[in-house]
Amino acid sequence: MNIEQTVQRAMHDVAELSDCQLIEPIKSDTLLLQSGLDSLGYAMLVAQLEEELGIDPFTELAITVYPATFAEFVAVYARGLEQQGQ
Amino acid sequence: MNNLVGLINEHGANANIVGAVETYTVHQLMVYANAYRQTYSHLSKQPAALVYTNAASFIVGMLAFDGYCSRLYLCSDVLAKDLDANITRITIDIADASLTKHPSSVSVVESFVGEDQEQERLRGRVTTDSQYPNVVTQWCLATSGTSGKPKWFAHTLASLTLNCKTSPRLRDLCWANLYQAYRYAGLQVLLQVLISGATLVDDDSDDLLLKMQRWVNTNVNAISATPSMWRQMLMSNHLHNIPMQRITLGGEIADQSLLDNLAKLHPTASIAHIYASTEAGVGFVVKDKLAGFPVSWLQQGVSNAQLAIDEKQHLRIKPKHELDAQLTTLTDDNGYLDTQDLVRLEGGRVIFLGRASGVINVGGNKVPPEKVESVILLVEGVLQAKVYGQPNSVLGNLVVADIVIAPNHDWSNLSRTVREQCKLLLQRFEIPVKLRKIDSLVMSPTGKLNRSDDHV
Repeated sequence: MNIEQTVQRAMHDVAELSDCQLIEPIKSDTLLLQSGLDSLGYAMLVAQLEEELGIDPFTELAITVYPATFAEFVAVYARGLEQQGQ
Repeated sequence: MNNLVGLINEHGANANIVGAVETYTVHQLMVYANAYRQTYSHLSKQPAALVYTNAASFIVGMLAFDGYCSRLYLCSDVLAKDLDANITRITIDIADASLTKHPSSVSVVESFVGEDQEQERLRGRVTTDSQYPNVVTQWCLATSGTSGKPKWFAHTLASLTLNCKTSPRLRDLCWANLYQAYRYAGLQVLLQVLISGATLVDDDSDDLLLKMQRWVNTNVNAISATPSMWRQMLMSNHLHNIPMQRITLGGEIADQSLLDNLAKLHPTASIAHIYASTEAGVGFVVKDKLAGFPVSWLQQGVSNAQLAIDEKQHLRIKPKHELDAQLTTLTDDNGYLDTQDLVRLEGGRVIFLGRASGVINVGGNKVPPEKVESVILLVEGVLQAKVYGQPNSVLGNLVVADIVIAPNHDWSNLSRTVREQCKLLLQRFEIPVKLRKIDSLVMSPTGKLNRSDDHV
Protein backbone atom coordinates (compact mmCIF):
# COMPACT_ATOMS: atom_id res chain seq x y z
CA MET A 1 0.00 0.00 0.00
CA ASN A 2 1.47 3.36 -0.93
CA ILE A 3 1.35 6.41 1.30
CA GLU A 4 -1.63 7.91 -0.53
CA GLN A 5 -3.68 4.75 -0.06
CA THR A 6 -2.62 4.54 3.59
CA VAL A 7 -3.84 8.09 4.22
CA GLN A 8 -7.09 7.43 2.31
CA ARG A 9 -7.80 4.31 4.33
CA ALA A 10 -6.95 6.04 7.61
CA MET A 11 -9.32 8.89 6.67
CA HIS A 12 -12.16 6.40 6.18
CA ASP A 13 -11.41 4.63 9.48
CA VAL A 14 -11.34 7.91 11.35
CA ALA A 15 -14.51 9.21 9.69
CA GLU A 16 -16.33 6.13 10.92
CA LEU A 17 -14.95 6.40 14.43
CA SER A 18 -15.52 10.11 14.76
CA ASP A 19 -18.99 10.15 13.19
CA CYS A 20 -17.94 12.29 10.22
CA GLN A 21 -19.28 11.89 6.70
CA LEU A 22 -16.37 11.78 4.26
CA ILE A 23 -17.02 13.12 0.76
CA GLU A 24 -16.47 10.69 -2.12
CA PRO A 25 -14.15 10.52 -3.88
CA ILE A 26 -11.22 12.19 -2.12
CA LYS A 27 -9.11 13.63 -4.95
CA SER A 28 -5.70 15.27 -5.03
CA ASP A 29 -7.17 18.75 -5.08
CA THR A 30 -9.86 18.08 -2.45
CA LEU A 31 -9.55 20.76 0.20
CA LEU A 32 -8.88 19.16 3.56
CA LEU A 33 -11.38 21.41 5.30
CA GLN A 34 -14.04 20.25 2.86
CA SER A 35 -13.31 16.55 2.97
CA GLY A 36 -15.83 15.96 5.73
CA LEU A 37 -13.43 15.54 8.65
CA ASP A 38 -13.67 18.18 11.34
CA SER A 39 -10.80 19.28 13.59
CA LEU A 40 -11.30 16.32 15.93
CA GLY A 41 -11.29 14.04 12.88
CA TYR A 42 -7.97 15.54 11.72
CA ALA A 43 -6.46 15.18 15.14
CA MET A 44 -7.48 11.51 15.16
CA LEU A 45 -6.13 11.06 11.64
CA VAL A 46 -2.73 12.45 12.62
CA ALA A 47 -2.73 10.22 15.75
CA GLN A 48 -3.65 7.13 13.72
CA LEU A 49 -1.04 7.82 11.05
CA GLU A 50 1.54 8.30 13.78
CA GLU A 51 0.69 4.85 15.05
CA GLU A 52 0.83 3.30 11.58
CA LEU A 53 3.77 5.19 10.08
CA GLY A 54 5.68 6.09 13.22
CA ILE A 55 5.81 9.82 12.46
CA ASP A 56 3.86 12.98 13.20
CA PRO A 57 5.35 15.31 10.60
CA PHE A 58 3.50 18.30 12.07
CA THR A 59 5.53 17.97 15.26
CA GLU A 60 8.77 16.66 13.86
CA LEU A 61 9.18 18.86 10.79
CA ALA A 62 9.39 22.60 10.93
CA ILE A 63 6.50 22.97 8.52
CA THR A 64 6.33 26.41 6.98
CA VAL A 65 3.18 25.90 4.95
CA TYR A 66 0.29 23.89 6.33
CA PRO A 67 -1.30 21.53 3.79
CA ALA A 68 -4.57 22.75 2.30
CA THR A 69 -5.34 19.90 -0.11
CA PHE A 70 -5.28 16.11 0.14
CA ALA A 71 -2.21 15.96 -2.15
CA GLU A 72 -0.35 18.47 0.01
CA PHE A 73 -1.25 16.49 3.13
CA VAL A 74 0.08 13.27 1.58
CA ALA A 75 3.23 15.11 0.45
CA VAL A 76 3.94 16.22 4.03
CA TYR A 77 3.90 12.56 5.12
CA ALA A 78 5.96 11.43 2.14
CA ARG A 79 8.58 14.05 2.99
CA GLY A 80 8.46 13.05 6.65
CA LEU A 81 9.07 9.40 5.83
CA GLU A 82 11.85 10.33 3.44
CA GLN A 83 13.61 12.42 6.12
CA GLN A 84 13.15 9.63 8.63
CA GLY A 85 14.83 7.20 6.25
CA GLN A 86 17.85 9.43 5.79
CA MET B 1 -19.19 54.62 36.28
CA ASN B 2 -18.91 50.94 37.06
CA ASN B 3 -21.17 49.49 34.42
CA LEU B 4 -20.81 48.49 30.80
CA VAL B 5 -22.76 51.44 29.41
CA GLY B 6 -20.49 53.81 31.32
CA LEU B 7 -17.35 52.11 30.02
CA ILE B 8 -18.62 52.24 26.45
CA ASN B 9 -19.49 55.92 26.75
CA GLU B 10 -16.11 56.73 28.23
CA HIS B 11 -14.44 55.87 24.94
CA GLY B 12 -17.18 56.90 22.51
CA ALA B 13 -19.90 54.47 21.55
CA ASN B 14 -18.87 53.38 18.09
CA ALA B 15 -19.05 49.59 18.04
CA ASN B 16 -20.84 47.81 15.21
CA ILE B 17 -22.01 44.22 15.14
CA VAL B 18 -22.24 42.71 11.67
CA GLY B 19 -24.80 39.92 12.00
CA ALA B 20 -25.69 37.25 9.47
CA VAL B 21 -28.39 39.49 7.96
CA GLU B 22 -28.14 42.91 9.50
CA THR B 23 -25.56 45.28 10.97
CA TYR B 24 -26.34 46.88 14.31
CA THR B 25 -24.76 49.93 15.90
CA VAL B 26 -24.30 49.94 19.65
CA HIS B 27 -26.93 52.73 19.73
CA GLN B 28 -29.50 50.43 18.17
CA LEU B 29 -28.58 47.67 20.59
CA MET B 30 -29.00 50.11 23.47
CA VAL B 31 -32.54 50.89 22.35
CA TYR B 32 -33.35 47.19 22.53
CA ALA B 33 -31.54 46.97 25.87
CA ASN B 34 -33.70 49.71 27.38
CA ALA B 35 -36.80 47.91 26.12
CA TYR B 36 -35.72 44.60 27.60
CA ARG B 37 -34.94 46.23 30.91
CA GLN B 38 -38.50 47.53 31.02
CA THR B 39 -39.90 44.14 30.10
CA TYR B 40 -37.90 42.55 32.90
CA SER B 41 -38.13 45.45 35.35
CA HIS B 42 -38.91 43.00 38.17
CA LEU B 43 -35.33 41.69 37.85
CA SER B 44 -33.81 44.86 39.26
CA LYS B 45 -31.21 43.73 41.81
CA GLN B 46 -32.23 40.09 41.19
CA PRO B 47 -30.16 37.29 39.59
CA ALA B 48 -30.85 36.33 35.98
CA ALA B 49 -29.45 33.98 33.34
CA LEU B 50 -28.69 35.31 29.87
CA VAL B 51 -28.96 32.55 27.25
CA TYR B 52 -26.78 32.95 24.14
CA THR B 53 -28.39 33.09 20.68
CA ASN B 54 -26.13 35.42 18.66
CA ALA B 55 -23.61 38.17 19.38
CA ALA B 56 -25.84 41.22 18.82
CA SER B 57 -28.66 39.80 20.97
CA PHE B 58 -26.25 38.76 23.71
CA ILE B 59 -24.83 42.28 23.80
CA VAL B 60 -28.37 43.63 24.17
CA GLY B 61 -28.73 41.45 27.26
CA MET B 62 -25.35 42.52 28.61
CA LEU B 63 -26.21 46.20 28.14
CA ALA B 64 -29.67 45.71 29.63
CA PHE B 65 -28.79 43.79 32.75
CA ASP B 66 -25.25 44.82 33.75
CA GLY B 67 -25.62 47.34 36.54
CA TYR B 68 -29.26 46.24 36.85
CA CYS B 69 -29.32 42.60 37.99
CA SER B 70 -27.42 41.40 41.05
CA ARG B 71 -25.94 38.41 39.20
CA LEU B 72 -25.85 37.65 35.52
CA TYR B 73 -25.23 34.02 34.56
CA LEU B 74 -23.88 33.88 31.00
CA CYS B 75 -24.91 30.59 29.46
CA SER B 76 -25.94 28.39 26.58
CA ASP B 77 -29.34 26.70 26.68
CA VAL B 78 -27.57 23.52 27.85
CA LEU B 79 -25.87 25.33 30.74
CA ALA B 80 -29.15 27.08 31.59
CA LYS B 81 -30.78 23.70 32.35
CA ASP B 82 -28.30 23.16 35.12
CA LEU B 83 -29.03 26.40 36.93
CA ASP B 84 -31.24 26.84 39.96
CA ALA B 85 -34.88 26.80 38.84
CA ASN B 86 -35.57 30.10 40.62
CA ILE B 87 -33.25 32.07 38.34
CA THR B 88 -35.09 33.75 35.47
CA ARG B 89 -33.81 32.70 32.04
CA ILE B 90 -33.70 35.46 29.43
CA THR B 91 -33.35 34.48 25.79
CA ILE B 92 -33.04 37.38 23.38
CA ASP B 93 -32.97 37.12 19.61
CA ILE B 94 -33.37 40.53 18.03
CA ALA B 95 -33.17 39.03 14.54
CA ASP B 96 -36.09 36.72 15.29
CA ALA B 97 -39.18 37.77 13.31
CA SER B 98 -41.42 36.47 16.09
CA LEU B 99 -40.04 39.23 18.29
CA THR B 100 -42.27 41.68 16.47
CA LYS B 101 -45.25 39.68 17.73
CA HIS B 102 -44.05 39.90 21.30
CA PRO B 103 -46.31 42.53 22.83
CA SER B 104 -43.92 43.91 25.36
CA SER B 105 -41.01 44.29 23.01
CA VAL B 106 -41.87 46.23 19.87
CA SER B 107 -44.03 48.87 21.44
CA VAL B 108 -41.33 49.59 23.96
CA VAL B 109 -38.54 49.52 21.39
CA GLU B 110 -40.37 52.04 19.25
CA SER B 111 -41.12 54.31 22.16
CA PHE B 112 -37.41 54.58 22.86
CA VAL B 113 -36.33 55.79 19.47
CA GLY B 114 -36.68 59.45 20.29
CA GLU B 115 -35.04 62.77 19.59
CA ASP B 116 -32.98 62.64 22.78
CA GLN B 117 -31.42 59.39 21.75
CA GLU B 118 -30.52 60.74 18.34
CA GLN B 119 -28.76 63.71 19.94
CA GLU B 120 -26.84 61.43 22.29
CA ARG B 121 -25.87 59.27 19.33
CA LEU B 122 -24.38 62.34 17.63
CA ARG B 123 -22.46 63.07 20.83
CA GLY B 124 -21.06 59.52 20.74
CA ARG B 125 -22.90 58.23 23.78
CA VAL B 126 -25.51 55.59 24.41
CA THR B 127 -28.34 56.41 26.77
CA THR B 128 -30.04 54.39 29.44
CA ASP B 129 -33.50 54.87 30.83
CA SER B 130 -33.90 56.72 34.08
CA GLN B 131 -34.74 53.68 36.23
CA TYR B 132 -31.17 52.46 36.37
CA PRO B 133 -30.41 51.06 39.84
CA ASN B 134 -26.64 51.12 39.22
CA VAL B 135 -25.70 48.01 41.18
CA VAL B 136 -22.36 46.25 40.70
CA THR B 137 -23.42 43.12 38.84
CA GLN B 138 -21.57 39.86 39.38
CA TRP B 139 -20.95 38.19 36.03
CA CYS B 140 -20.97 34.41 36.38
CA LEU B 141 -19.15 32.12 33.97
CA ALA B 142 -19.23 28.33 33.93
CA THR B 143 -16.34 25.93 33.83
CA SER B 144 -16.36 22.12 33.95
CA GLY B 145 -15.75 20.70 37.39
CA THR B 146 -13.99 17.37 38.00
CA SER B 147 -17.32 15.56 37.87
CA GLY B 148 -18.14 17.29 34.59
CA LYS B 149 -20.83 19.36 36.26
CA PRO B 150 -20.47 23.08 35.52
CA LYS B 151 -19.07 25.24 38.28
CA TRP B 152 -19.93 28.92 38.28
CA PHE B 153 -17.34 31.59 39.00
CA ALA B 154 -18.25 35.19 39.70
CA HIS B 155 -16.42 38.14 38.16
CA THR B 156 -16.92 41.85 38.15
CA LEU B 157 -16.96 43.91 34.99
CA ALA B 158 -13.85 45.66 36.33
CA SER B 159 -11.87 42.39 36.41
CA LEU B 160 -13.24 41.20 33.08
CA THR B 161 -12.20 44.39 31.33
CA LEU B 162 -8.74 44.75 32.91
CA ASN B 163 -7.21 43.71 29.63
CA CYS B 164 -9.48 45.64 27.27
CA LYS B 165 -7.54 48.39 25.57
CA THR B 166 -8.68 51.47 23.68
CA SER B 167 -6.98 53.53 20.99
CA PRO B 168 -7.89 54.97 17.58
CA ARG B 169 -6.05 52.04 15.97
CA LEU B 170 -8.05 49.50 17.98
CA ARG B 171 -11.25 51.25 16.94
CA ASP B 172 -10.46 50.42 13.32
CA LEU B 173 -10.19 46.72 14.00
CA CYS B 174 -12.78 44.32 12.65
CA TRP B 175 -12.97 41.17 14.78
CA ALA B 176 -14.24 37.74 13.77
CA ASN B 177 -16.37 35.95 16.34
CA LEU B 178 -15.02 32.42 16.73
CA TYR B 179 -15.67 31.68 20.37
CA GLN B 180 -18.79 30.93 22.32
CA ALA B 181 -19.48 34.35 23.76
CA TYR B 182 -20.79 33.01 27.07
CA ARG B 183 -17.33 31.56 27.77
CA TYR B 184 -14.45 33.60 29.10
CA ALA B 185 -12.51 33.98 25.84
CA GLY B 186 -15.59 34.84 23.80
CA LEU B 187 -16.70 37.39 26.34
CA GLN B 188 -13.27 39.01 26.15
CA VAL B 189 -13.69 39.52 22.40
CA LEU B 190 -17.19 41.00 22.83
CA LEU B 191 -16.04 43.37 25.58
CA GLN B 192 -12.94 44.42 23.64
CA VAL B 193 -15.11 45.24 20.62
CA LEU B 194 -17.68 47.20 22.66
CA ILE B 195 -15.21 49.19 24.73
CA SER B 196 -12.77 50.01 21.94
CA GLY B 197 -15.58 50.88 19.51
CA ALA B 198 -14.46 48.27 16.98
CA THR B 199 -16.54 46.04 14.69
CA LEU B 200 -17.50 42.40 15.25
CA VAL B 201 -18.43 40.05 12.42
CA ASP B 202 -20.78 37.38 13.75
CA ASP B 203 -22.11 34.36 11.90
CA ASP B 204 -23.58 31.04 12.88
CA SER B 205 -21.95 28.89 10.22
CA ASP B 206 -20.06 25.79 11.35
CA ASP B 207 -18.12 25.69 8.10
CA LEU B 208 -14.73 27.29 8.69
CA LEU B 209 -14.06 27.89 4.99
CA LEU B 210 -17.38 29.71 4.58
CA LYS B 211 -16.62 31.75 7.65
CA MET B 212 -13.20 32.70 6.32
CA GLN B 213 -14.62 33.70 2.94
CA ARG B 214 -17.07 35.94 4.77
CA TRP B 215 -14.25 37.47 6.78
CA VAL B 216 -12.50 38.41 3.54
CA ASN B 217 -15.69 40.12 2.32
CA THR B 218 -16.34 41.92 5.59
CA ASN B 219 -12.76 43.18 6.05
CA VAL B 220 -11.97 41.19 9.17
CA ASN B 221 -8.44 41.99 10.38
CA ALA B 222 -8.45 40.74 13.99
CA ILE B 223 -9.04 37.19 15.18
CA SER B 224 -8.95 35.60 18.60
CA ALA B 225 -8.80 31.78 18.54
CA THR B 226 -7.31 28.75 20.24
CA PRO B 227 -4.00 27.37 18.88
CA SER B 228 -6.03 24.43 17.53
CA MET B 229 -8.32 26.77 15.60
CA TRP B 230 -5.29 28.63 14.23
CA ARG B 231 -3.75 25.38 12.99
CA GLN B 232 -7.00 24.61 11.24
CA MET B 233 -7.09 28.08 9.68
CA LEU B 234 -3.54 27.57 8.48
CA MET B 235 -4.78 24.41 6.76
CA SER B 236 -6.89 26.55 4.42
CA ASN B 237 -6.01 28.74 1.51
CA HIS B 238 -7.74 31.72 3.03
CA LEU B 239 -5.69 32.97 5.94
CA HIS B 240 -3.21 34.83 3.74
CA ASN B 241 -6.16 36.69 2.12
CA ILE B 242 -7.12 38.20 5.45
CA PRO B 243 -5.07 41.34 6.17
CA MET B 244 -4.43 40.43 9.79
CA GLN B 245 -3.47 43.26 12.12
CA ARG B 246 -4.14 41.43 15.38
CA ILE B 247 -3.68 37.74 16.07
CA THR B 248 -4.67 36.50 19.51
CA LEU B 249 -4.21 32.98 20.85
CA GLY B 250 -5.63 31.59 24.07
CA GLY B 251 -7.18 28.61 25.82
CA GLU B 252 -4.31 26.22 25.08
CA ILE B 253 -0.53 26.24 25.09
CA ALA B 254 0.81 28.35 22.20
CA ASP B 255 3.81 26.50 20.80
CA GLN B 256 6.75 28.12 19.04
CA SER B 257 6.22 26.52 15.64
CA LEU B 258 2.64 27.81 15.47
CA LEU B 259 3.75 31.31 16.52
CA ASP B 260 6.49 31.18 13.86
CA ASN B 261 4.05 30.10 11.17
CA LEU B 262 1.61 32.89 11.98
CA ALA B 263 4.40 35.48 12.13
CA LYS B 264 5.73 34.35 8.78
CA LEU B 265 2.32 34.57 7.12
CA HIS B 266 1.46 37.93 8.70
CA PRO B 267 4.76 39.65 9.54
CA THR B 268 3.20 43.02 10.37
CA ALA B 269 0.42 41.70 12.60
CA SER B 270 0.70 41.92 16.37
CA ILE B 271 0.61 38.43 17.86
CA ALA B 272 -0.45 37.96 21.45
CA HIS B 273 -1.00 34.83 23.47
CA ILE B 274 -3.23 35.33 26.43
CA TYR B 275 -2.87 33.34 29.60
CA ALA B 276 -6.21 33.38 31.40
CA SER B 277 -8.68 31.13 33.15
CA THR B 278 -12.42 31.19 33.67
CA GLU B 279 -11.90 30.76 37.40
CA ALA B 280 -9.39 33.53 38.01
CA GLY B 281 -9.93 35.89 35.10
CA VAL B 282 -7.20 37.21 32.83
CA GLY B 283 -3.64 36.66 33.94
CA PHE B 284 -1.29 38.21 31.40
CA VAL B 285 -0.54 38.70 27.73
CA VAL B 286 2.69 37.74 25.94
CA LYS B 287 3.46 39.75 22.82
CA ASP B 288 7.05 38.94 21.88
CA LYS B 289 6.10 36.07 19.54
CA LEU B 290 7.94 33.56 21.73
CA ALA B 291 6.36 30.56 23.51
CA GLY B 292 5.93 30.82 27.28
CA PHE B 293 6.85 34.05 29.04
CA PRO B 294 10.12 35.73 30.17
CA VAL B 295 11.63 34.44 33.42
CA SER B 296 12.14 38.08 34.48
CA TRP B 297 8.37 38.37 35.01
CA LEU B 298 8.73 36.10 38.04
CA GLN B 299 10.60 38.95 39.73
CA GLN B 300 8.99 41.99 38.15
CA GLY B 301 5.43 40.74 37.71
CA VAL B 302 3.29 41.79 34.77
CA SER B 303 0.79 44.61 34.48
CA ASN B 304 -2.08 43.01 36.39
CA ALA B 305 -0.42 40.26 38.40
CA GLN B 306 2.55 38.91 40.32
CA LEU B 307 3.86 35.49 39.29
CA ALA B 308 5.72 32.69 41.07
CA ILE B 309 6.60 29.01 40.63
CA ASP B 310 6.06 26.77 43.65
CA GLU B 311 7.97 23.65 44.72
CA LYS B 312 5.64 21.43 42.67
CA GLN B 313 6.52 23.41 39.52
CA HIS B 314 3.01 24.91 39.44
CA LEU B 315 2.61 28.46 38.21
CA ARG B 316 1.15 30.67 40.92
CA ILE B 317 -0.48 33.98 40.17
CA LYS B 318 -1.53 36.88 42.35
CA PRO B 319 -3.90 39.11 40.41
CA LYS B 320 -4.68 42.66 41.44
CA HIS B 321 -8.41 41.98 41.41
CA GLU B 322 -10.26 40.00 44.05
CA LEU B 323 -10.76 36.30 43.33
CA ASP B 324 -13.96 34.28 43.67
CA ALA B 325 -14.30 32.92 47.22
CA GLN B 326 -14.35 29.33 45.87
CA LEU B 327 -10.65 29.73 45.08
CA THR B 328 -9.60 30.38 48.68
CA THR B 329 -8.42 26.78 49.18
CA LEU B 330 -6.06 27.13 46.21
CA THR B 331 -4.63 30.45 47.42
CA ASP B 332 -1.63 30.66 49.78
CA ASP B 333 -1.16 33.07 52.68
CA ASN B 334 0.48 35.63 50.41
CA GLY B 335 -2.49 35.68 48.03
CA TYR B 336 -0.92 33.57 45.27
CA LEU B 337 -3.37 31.25 43.48
CA ASP B 338 -2.23 27.79 42.40
CA THR B 339 -3.14 27.76 38.69
CA GLN B 340 -2.50 23.99 38.48
CA ASP B 341 -0.45 24.66 35.37
CA LEU B 342 2.86 22.81 35.24
CA VAL B 343 5.78 24.92 34.01
CA ARG B 344 9.49 24.53 33.35
CA LEU B 345 12.32 27.05 32.98
CA GLU B 346 13.97 26.84 29.58
CA GLY B 347 16.48 29.33 28.16
CA GLY B 348 15.20 32.44 29.90
CA ARG B 349 11.56 31.49 29.37
CA VAL B 350 8.89 29.88 31.52
CA ILE B 351 7.33 27.19 29.33
CA PHE B 352 3.90 25.62 29.92
CA LEU B 353 3.76 21.81 30.08
CA GLY B 354 0.08 21.07 30.78
CA ARG B 355 -2.35 20.72 33.64
CA ALA B 356 -1.10 19.24 36.89
CA SER B 357 -4.62 18.11 37.76
CA GLY B 358 -4.62 15.84 34.73
CA VAL B 359 -7.43 17.83 33.06
CA ILE B 360 -7.02 17.24 29.34
CA ASN B 361 -7.22 20.21 26.99
CA VAL B 362 -8.68 19.04 23.68
CA GLY B 363 -8.58 22.03 21.37
CA GLY B 364 -9.51 24.39 24.18
CA ASN B 365 -12.19 22.08 25.64
CA LYS B 366 -11.36 20.88 29.14
CA VAL B 367 -11.94 17.19 29.78
CA PRO B 368 -11.75 15.98 33.40
CA PRO B 369 -10.35 12.43 33.17
CA GLU B 370 -12.45 11.30 36.15
CA LYS B 371 -15.62 12.07 34.19
CA VAL B 372 -14.60 9.82 31.29
CA GLU B 373 -13.35 7.12 33.68
CA SER B 374 -16.72 7.03 35.44
CA VAL B 375 -18.47 6.40 32.10
CA ILE B 376 -16.06 3.60 31.14
CA LEU B 377 -16.44 1.98 34.56
CA LEU B 378 -20.18 1.66 33.97
CA VAL B 379 -19.47 -1.11 31.46
CA GLU B 380 -19.74 -4.59 32.94
CA GLY B 381 -16.40 -6.36 32.76
CA VAL B 382 -14.31 -3.19 33.16
CA LEU B 383 -12.33 -3.40 36.39
CA GLN B 384 -10.21 -0.27 36.18
CA ALA B 385 -9.83 2.65 33.81
CA LYS B 386 -7.30 5.43 33.57
CA VAL B 387 -7.93 8.32 31.20
CA TYR B 388 -5.24 10.78 30.18
CA GLY B 389 -4.18 13.09 27.38
CA GLN B 390 -1.99 12.10 24.47
CA PRO B 391 -0.14 15.02 22.84
CA ASN B 392 -1.43 15.80 19.37
CA SER B 393 -0.13 18.33 16.88
CA VAL B 394 -3.61 19.28 15.64
CA LEU B 395 -5.67 19.60 18.82
CA GLY B 396 -3.01 19.89 21.53
CA ASN B 397 -4.18 16.72 23.24
CA LEU B 398 -6.50 13.79 22.59
CA VAL B 399 -8.22 11.61 25.16
CA VAL B 400 -6.98 8.02 25.50
CA ALA B 401 -7.89 5.34 28.04
CA ASP B 402 -6.05 2.42 29.63
CA ILE B 403 -8.49 -0.29 30.68
CA VAL B 404 -8.16 -3.36 32.88
CA ILE B 405 -10.83 -5.97 32.21
CA ALA B 406 -12.11 -8.89 34.22
CA PRO B 407 -10.96 -12.38 33.27
CA ASN B 408 -13.20 -14.29 30.84
CA HIS B 409 -14.30 -11.12 29.06
CA ASP B 410 -13.59 -10.61 25.38
CA TRP B 411 -11.64 -7.38 24.74
CA SER B 412 -13.04 -6.88 21.26
CA ASN B 413 -16.67 -6.97 22.43
CA LEU B 414 -15.98 -5.07 25.58
CA SER B 415 -14.09 -2.24 23.88
CA ARG B 416 -16.98 -1.85 21.44
CA THR B 417 -19.41 -1.53 24.34
CA VAL B 418 -17.15 1.02 26.02
CA ARG B 419 -17.07 3.05 22.83
CA GLU B 420 -20.86 2.94 22.50
CA GLN B 421 -21.32 3.91 26.12
CA CYS B 422 -18.95 6.86 25.65
CA LYS B 423 -20.78 7.99 22.51
CA LEU B 424 -24.02 7.89 24.45
CA LEU B 425 -22.92 9.78 27.55
CA LEU B 426 -20.04 12.03 26.52
CA GLN B 427 -19.43 14.91 24.15
CA ARG B 428 -17.41 14.03 21.05
CA PHE B 429 -14.16 15.59 22.22
CA GLU B 430 -14.44 13.67 25.51
CA ILE B 431 -14.61 10.23 23.90
CA PRO B 432 -11.27 8.38 24.07
CA VAL B 433 -9.80 8.04 20.59
CA LYS B 434 -7.81 5.03 21.73
CA LEU B 435 -8.68 2.28 24.18
CA ARG B 436 -5.71 0.24 25.38
CA LYS B 437 -6.08 -3.05 27.22
CA ILE B 438 -3.56 -3.29 30.03
CA ASP B 439 -2.98 -5.82 32.79
CA SER B 440 -3.07 -3.57 35.84
CA LEU B 441 -3.06 0.04 36.96
CA VAL B 442 -0.87 1.41 39.70
CA MET B 443 -2.77 2.60 42.74
CA SER B 444 -1.45 4.94 45.43
CA PRO B 445 -1.19 3.70 49.04
CA THR B 446 -4.53 5.43 49.72
CA GLY B 447 -6.17 3.37 47.02
CA LYS B 448 -6.48 6.22 44.53
CA LEU B 449 -5.48 5.96 40.92
CA ASN B 450 -1.85 7.00 40.65
CA ARG B 451 -1.70 10.04 38.38
CA SER B 452 1.91 10.90 39.13
CA ASP B 453 3.04 9.18 35.95
CA ASP B 454 0.63 11.23 33.86
CA HIS B 455 1.48 11.45 30.22
CA VAL B 456 1.78 15.26 30.23
